[in-house]
Amino acid sequence: MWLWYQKSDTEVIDLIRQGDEEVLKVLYRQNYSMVRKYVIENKGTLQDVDDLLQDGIIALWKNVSKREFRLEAKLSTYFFAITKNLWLKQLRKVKKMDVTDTHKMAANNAVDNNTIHKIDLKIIKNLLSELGETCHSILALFYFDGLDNQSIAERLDFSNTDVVKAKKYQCLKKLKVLFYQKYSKEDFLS
Amino acid sequence: MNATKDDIEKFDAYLEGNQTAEEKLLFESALLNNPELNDSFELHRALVNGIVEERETHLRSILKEQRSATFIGSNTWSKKFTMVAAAIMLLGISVLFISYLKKTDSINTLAKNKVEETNDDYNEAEISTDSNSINSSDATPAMGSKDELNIDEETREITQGNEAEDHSLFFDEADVQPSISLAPKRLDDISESNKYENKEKATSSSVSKDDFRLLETESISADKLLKSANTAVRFIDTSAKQMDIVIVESASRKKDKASSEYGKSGADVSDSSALARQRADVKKSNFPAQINITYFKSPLNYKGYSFVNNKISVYGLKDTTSILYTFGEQLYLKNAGIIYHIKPSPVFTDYIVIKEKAIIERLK
Repeated sequence: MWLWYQKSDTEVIDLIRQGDEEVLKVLYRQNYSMVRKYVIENKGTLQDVDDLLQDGIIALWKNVSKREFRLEAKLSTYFFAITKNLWLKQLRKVKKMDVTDTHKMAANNAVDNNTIHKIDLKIIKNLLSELGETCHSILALFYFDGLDNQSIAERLDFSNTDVVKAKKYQCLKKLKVLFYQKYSKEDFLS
Repeated sequence: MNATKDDIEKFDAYLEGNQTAEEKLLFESALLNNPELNDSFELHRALVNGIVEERETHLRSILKEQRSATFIGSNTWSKKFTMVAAAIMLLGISVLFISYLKKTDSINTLAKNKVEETNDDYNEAEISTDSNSINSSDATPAMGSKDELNIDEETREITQGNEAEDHSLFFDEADVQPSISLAPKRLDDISESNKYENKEKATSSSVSKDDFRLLETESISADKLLKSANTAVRFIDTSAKQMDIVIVESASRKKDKASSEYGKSGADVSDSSALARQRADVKKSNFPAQINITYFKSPLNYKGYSFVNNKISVYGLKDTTSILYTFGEQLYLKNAGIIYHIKPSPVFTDYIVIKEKAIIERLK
């Protein structure tokens, strides 16, 4: 139990790069106390601690997944730097919002609403489930994890990057077809 | 419109911000000029946003599982810890409360028992004193000891009219307190007394007597023991006239002496002393022949006593030598010239100083 709880930096990085999602829990447990202390000491709440931990771990996941990532300090130090930056950014955002004119805020919100084109999460989940596991993985690794074609090829055992490119194109094409079979333009241009 | 591979690469490059400024301008103008391309791009962007959101939601759900486990775990642990701590505290309080109740009960029971024992002892002493007195009164006139003879001689002198020398009615103090012995001071008494001294230092002068009594009842050994002495009780016949006051030694003392008195002549014993002795013996005493007096140094200048089971514990008396009298079924203690009325009391109580001249005169 304890050995499982405590993992070395190399082990954690390897697990992230293998796509082992269970390592997220390890990161949460290992860094909870540190983040909690920092956030609470800096005007945060327990809810902020949880949000910041999630944001930080997801950011770490994305960064570590990338091929070019090189760890030059302890992983906990790196993670703390990420969470600290995220928290300071959030504080600045809150401070900025406090001094912003309410009319400006309303105008910005209106602009944002017009520019954000988003498909309902339930729709996309249905589409991805119909798409199949491989397509789902390729698209998630490329668009969310930010992996390049070489990394995706290695992760999913494709022979080369061209296969990845082709597969990705096919998957997107299929996804759009599935979308138009059930939904229309109005479902994402809201 | 179906987007080509190149279109999708351009879409991705635009979304990721990997285009140059020129490429970006060209792409945006193409979107403006080509509605189908624009629709294709908007769908692509919406799908990509959906893929990212779906993935992020999935990962956050894993983290939320861990969060729940962490919080629920910690909450459960803290709840368990709190419950265990509360149970231990409750148990501790219960034990303390029960022990307190038991202690209180035992003190009450002890006090009751001691009062009963005291009464029993008095009854027994009454019987034994009565029988001993009769025996000794039979023996004394014919076989009085040297001391007895001296006493009788003194008594005779008084009965012959020397009223001014009332003090000669009594035995020498050393004579009536033959078994005075210093009780060894126990180590735990010393340690307790040290504790008590510390308590005393910490206690303000506003400590009430009631508090003190409770304290004394619970920790009698906490005080400084000065002296413990068995003291003979002198019996004074209330029926006798002032002139005829007869001091009779304790029954036990008389009994002890009686054996050595055989063979000695009682010719010197006067009739008046014999008469007085008879009167004295007829009068019953409710108190034992000997009572142990233990002198304690008072920690708070409190003066008082307890009297249980043939034992008197006294506090704050000036002298460690006292004389006990029974007079009119009451017990009196004379110390440093002051006469105190002593009543059976399992708890420490104040001294009652006798101011009635009639009693003082009798006990002089």
